Amino acid sequence: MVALNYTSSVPSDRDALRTATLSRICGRHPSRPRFMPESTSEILLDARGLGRGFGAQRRTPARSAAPANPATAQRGGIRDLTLTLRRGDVLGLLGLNGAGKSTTVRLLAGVLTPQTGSVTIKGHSLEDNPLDARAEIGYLPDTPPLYPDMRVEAYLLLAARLRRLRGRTAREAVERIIGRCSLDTVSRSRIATLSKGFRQRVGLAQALVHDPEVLLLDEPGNGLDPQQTEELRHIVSDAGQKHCVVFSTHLLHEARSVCNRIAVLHEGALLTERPAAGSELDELFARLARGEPGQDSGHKPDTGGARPS
Amino acid sequence: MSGGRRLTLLIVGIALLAGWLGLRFSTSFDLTANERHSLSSASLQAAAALDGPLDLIAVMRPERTQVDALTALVERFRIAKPDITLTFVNPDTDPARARSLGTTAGAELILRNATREQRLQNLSERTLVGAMRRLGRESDRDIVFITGHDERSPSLQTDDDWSDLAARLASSGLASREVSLVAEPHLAESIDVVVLAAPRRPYFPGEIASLMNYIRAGGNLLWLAETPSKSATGPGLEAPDRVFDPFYSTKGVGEGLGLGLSISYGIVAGFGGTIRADNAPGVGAVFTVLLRAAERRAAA
Amino acid sequence: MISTVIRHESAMLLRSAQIWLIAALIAALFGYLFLTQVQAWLNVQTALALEDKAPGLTGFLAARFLAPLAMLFSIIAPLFAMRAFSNEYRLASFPLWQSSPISSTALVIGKYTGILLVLLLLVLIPVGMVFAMGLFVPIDLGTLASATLGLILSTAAFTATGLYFSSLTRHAMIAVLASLALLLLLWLIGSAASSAQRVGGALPLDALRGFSIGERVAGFFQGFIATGDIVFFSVMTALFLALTVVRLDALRDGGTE
Repeated sequence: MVALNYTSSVPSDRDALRTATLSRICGRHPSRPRFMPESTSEILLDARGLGRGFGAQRRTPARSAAPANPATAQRGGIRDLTLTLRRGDVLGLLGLNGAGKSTTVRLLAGVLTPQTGSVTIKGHSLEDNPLDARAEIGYLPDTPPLYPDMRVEAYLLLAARLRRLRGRTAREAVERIIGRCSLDTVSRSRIATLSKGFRQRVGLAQALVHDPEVLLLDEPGNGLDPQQTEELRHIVSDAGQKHCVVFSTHLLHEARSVCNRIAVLHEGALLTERPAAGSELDELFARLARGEPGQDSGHKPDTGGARPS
Repeated sequence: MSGGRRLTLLIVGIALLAGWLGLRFSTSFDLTANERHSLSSASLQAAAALDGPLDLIAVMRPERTQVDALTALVERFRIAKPDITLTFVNPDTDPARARSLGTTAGAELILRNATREQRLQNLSERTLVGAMRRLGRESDRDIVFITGHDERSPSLQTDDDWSDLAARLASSGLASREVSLVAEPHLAESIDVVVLAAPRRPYFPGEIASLMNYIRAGGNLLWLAETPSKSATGPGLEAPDRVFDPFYSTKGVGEGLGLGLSISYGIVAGFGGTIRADNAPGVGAVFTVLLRAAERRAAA
Repeated sequence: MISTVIRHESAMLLRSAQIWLIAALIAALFGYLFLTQVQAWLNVQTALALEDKAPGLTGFLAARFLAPLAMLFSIIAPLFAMRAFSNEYRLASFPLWQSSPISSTALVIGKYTGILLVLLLLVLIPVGMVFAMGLFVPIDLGTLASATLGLILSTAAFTATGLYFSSLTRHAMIAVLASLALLLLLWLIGSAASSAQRVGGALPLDALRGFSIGERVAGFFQGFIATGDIVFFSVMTALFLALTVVRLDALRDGGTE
């Protein structure tokens, strides 16, 4: 099994940007607990040894990184997945349909409980401290979780209140996100009357309304036209600079345009996880597309977690 | 997913236990304005005063509302006296038992306590309490003869009077006394039986009211009527077999309810006796009352 | 957080045209029943007055007008609750709740309370009708309070039942039919068991009498409150709410809708 502690080659000018945004974040949400970053690259999401078979199954008592039975990782299942995201990371989750992308995102969002392994969001374990962990998550499933007969503004207000924003803070956050996602023209409309593109944007807005540290997007680009895709890319990279994003897709070029790191899933296993640039990914992906067994020949696993300075 | 299933079973189990406990140890509060559901303290006292278990046998057809009403009433008495048992005997399905209990007509509630017995045809809190009171008295029965209207007196020794009968009654533990309703208008419910021993003059309205009150409270009335012993023939009975039916009356409207004889019938039957009405030629109407002399022993 | 859910759920119900239609029909039914029972009272009033410890107007209305409403609400409550979770599954909006910092328990309590509040508005209508009589004649507030409590407790239990079945399936119709079947069974158990037991029928049915909704609710409408009956409905409510929470948690483990 390829267990990875990846090395992040983040350009140094991001550090300055990060520090500036960190302080803005501290001031923006006074209701949120204050954090003290230990290093400038704070780990926001830490998933270790995640495993889940298909269908309703009990969580196994041994929660070590021991691999689950490979035979149970059927279509949509996951075995022994480990990911670590730091602030500023936009991770593209790539894979064919059925490789386990949706399952992975759902596991990270806490919507599904893993059979093995654990997920930690900003130091809060999803298993032991689910409420605090989920407060830092923004999740957009492949079908946006909308209520057709609610108005956009009311819906986003509901989402804000659900994420522990109160009173005036909630209303201000809703106004901000409406502007950020260009929903001004439809803010008073009923969601049922919106087009697909607008609905996707409302879904994205609900994931972002509370400015979460971890943004999880499950195939958000589905069915968007080029202009909408461009807007999406803009919002995602903006969020990625301040926080971190997991972006699942089955299109390599789409992942490349937004993400700085890409993880490839195949049949429930993580094949590789590397910076977005680089031609090995094209080769690997082409092989997968042709149906050949996936194996990343050129990549050696890193031991230890030291970052190159 | 047996973890979830176990949890579900646990929840259901706790719910069943909590429900059972709640029903087992339930107390009630009566919120009605006229306290319809509570028994008066006097009633509860009467029940509590009884020694030993009280057995109630209801010989009746199992009509739902009546069964429920009776059970509810008995339940309220159980607060003061827990050892009350209530059984139902359906004369339709179990006629042998009904006959062995001595029930002849209609529905009846038989109360048994130790060796004593009481029977009720009309059921209410008041009649039940009266019956309990009568059961509760271990001492002699209280038989009251009404005087003041030329009745046959148990105390006078003339040929026309019934001192012999009174003596016989006394020897069986049935003490009797005379009461004038003019002097003492209230007849206590604890009196076992009030006897109208062939009055030859009509009663005043006030006295009739006292008698009716006593009867309504569940008391027993023995009304002995006799024909004039001499001379003219008395009025005959038009329908001797109907004369004990309630509300049967040959008088016009407003002249009595026609309840007297039916009450007599019921009371005599309650004592295990019989009353018959005949037309005797040359005499007129003859009522024959047969009573057992000894005190009743409850059937085992 | 719970108040957010309550407000959301109540608003969802009040936005629904079907709910308003049902409410209008029910209100008309209340009016009709009320008038017929008041007329019945006027016919029977003098005869009842002669009886020992007879019920008055309030007692009569409680037993003849409010008591049948308990059965009516055992149909209405599941109807109101049937969309609560079934809709979420169908609209795929459930992940909104699953990924938010709200526990299953808080979600269930919030949805339940939201639905119950709307239902209690409906319950208040017939109670208000009887209460309004108090402007003209003296009424027995004790009996009315007891009858109101009976209606509230039973409606609360029926709503919890409907909510649980809603959480089991994405098809609201199946949810409501299942709730109605269960509640109808509980209503029927009483009448079969009690009449059999009294006159020496088969014994085992006697144990089932404890489950009979009819028996448990009857006392309230006669004006007396038994703690056992209160416990029955409270336990029933808590049971179904707890089962709903367990069901929602099971969905996280990968159960199907």
